Amino acid sequence: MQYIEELKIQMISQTLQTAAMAILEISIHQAIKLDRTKCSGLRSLSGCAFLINITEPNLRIYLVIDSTGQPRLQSIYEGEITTRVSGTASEFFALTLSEDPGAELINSPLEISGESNRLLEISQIFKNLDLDWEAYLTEYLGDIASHRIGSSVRRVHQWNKLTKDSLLRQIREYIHEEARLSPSKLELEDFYTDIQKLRLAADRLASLTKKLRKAI
Amino acid sequence: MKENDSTDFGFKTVPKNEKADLVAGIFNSVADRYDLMNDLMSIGIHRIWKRFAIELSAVREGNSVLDIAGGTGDLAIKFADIVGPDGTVVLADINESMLKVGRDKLLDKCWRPNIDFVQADAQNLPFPDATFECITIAFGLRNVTDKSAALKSMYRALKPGGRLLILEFSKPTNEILAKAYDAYSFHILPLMGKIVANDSDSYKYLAESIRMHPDQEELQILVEDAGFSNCDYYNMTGGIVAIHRGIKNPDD
Repeated sequence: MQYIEELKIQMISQTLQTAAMAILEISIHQAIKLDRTKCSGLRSLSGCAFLINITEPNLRIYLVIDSTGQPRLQSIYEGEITTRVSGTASEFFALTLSEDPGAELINSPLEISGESNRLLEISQIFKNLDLDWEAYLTEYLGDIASHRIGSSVRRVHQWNKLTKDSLLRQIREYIHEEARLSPSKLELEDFYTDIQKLRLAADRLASLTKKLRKAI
Repeated sequence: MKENDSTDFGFKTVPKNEKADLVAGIFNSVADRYDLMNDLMSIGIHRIWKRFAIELSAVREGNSVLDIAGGTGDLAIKFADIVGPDGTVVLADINESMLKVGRDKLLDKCWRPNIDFVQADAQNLPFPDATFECITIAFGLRNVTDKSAALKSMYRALKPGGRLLILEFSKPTNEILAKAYDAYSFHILPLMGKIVANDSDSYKYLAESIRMHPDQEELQILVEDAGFSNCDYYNMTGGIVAIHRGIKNPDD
């Protein structure tokens, strides 16, 4: 059993980490190829090295922008680090889901040291990648087929979005209005306003009582 | 035959002056299908090992890099992109067939103007002292007749503070893995060689030469004996492969 445990640890260590980085790097390069306008932005960051230090689980990823503006992912880097970001995996995950990664970076519990403006630049570039999948498909399938596939994907995406929005709205209505499991946002706001009024009234009453006591 | 005059060639013992020709015969035979066989034998993992070796090299823009036993140019191409137009990569190989395959691959598919090709013996590198910031030898050292002479030659050609990286098969650190690896090496590998490259003997030699190659600790001692300092090694895939690293003394 001990051998098997040792074997697992050895096999998943460096080789898998390097493989995962290689796959991620290829994906980033593909994404950049689909939005060539962003390449020039990355070129302005050439020579920068960002250390993404994930504390739980323990993992260090170096994002290095080379002289041609291509991002490279490494597990070992011995040059100067432009910016370090440290935090747990869940904090980094929240960052990737954020609509505004710049604000999220500043407001989140992630620890940042070094040139934070460089970090904001690169996070905006990655966030604003506008992937032109249809152009990519055109190279292999031609104009008509790729346009049809693109239209179908957009329709499915739109349908998914509408269905998701509608489902969320109905669930919200059911919870608030039908089952009365939780108050609605408006009811909560009214409730908080009433509490605020009550607190002010209590303060006034306390002040009045104090005055009366002094007068007596 | 005196012990000092002989060396290993797989599990056989041969006169030292014959090993180079025997190894050349192996590589002349496999050169055309070298890349394909590498991918098949390692299920593509050799690319990950090479990638990690490049990370350890700490090569920068403008550096000079020597890739010994560079064969079909996998490492040289990556280094050429990193060092950029101000840097140089020298792809060296003792074997003419391998060098030709590597050069044809670069000319046809991925030409890099900053790569030079040199047919050279690792034991007597034809470069002035202190020429390179980094020297790599990937899956080549075990085929060299006199490993100490080769390491000393590399030390001489490195700039002070320069870095040597040896990527080579080594000894698995886990018994179960070692047994599975033996079964794979001595049964599946020669069969694969026979089917794909019509040459089972060369792949039998590959398995035998790996077993005869110094293990992680022994190789580290050889590297240190050649003069390198700050020597260490990284095991990859449970020790099937190890990457040894050494630095040339900045005062030399």
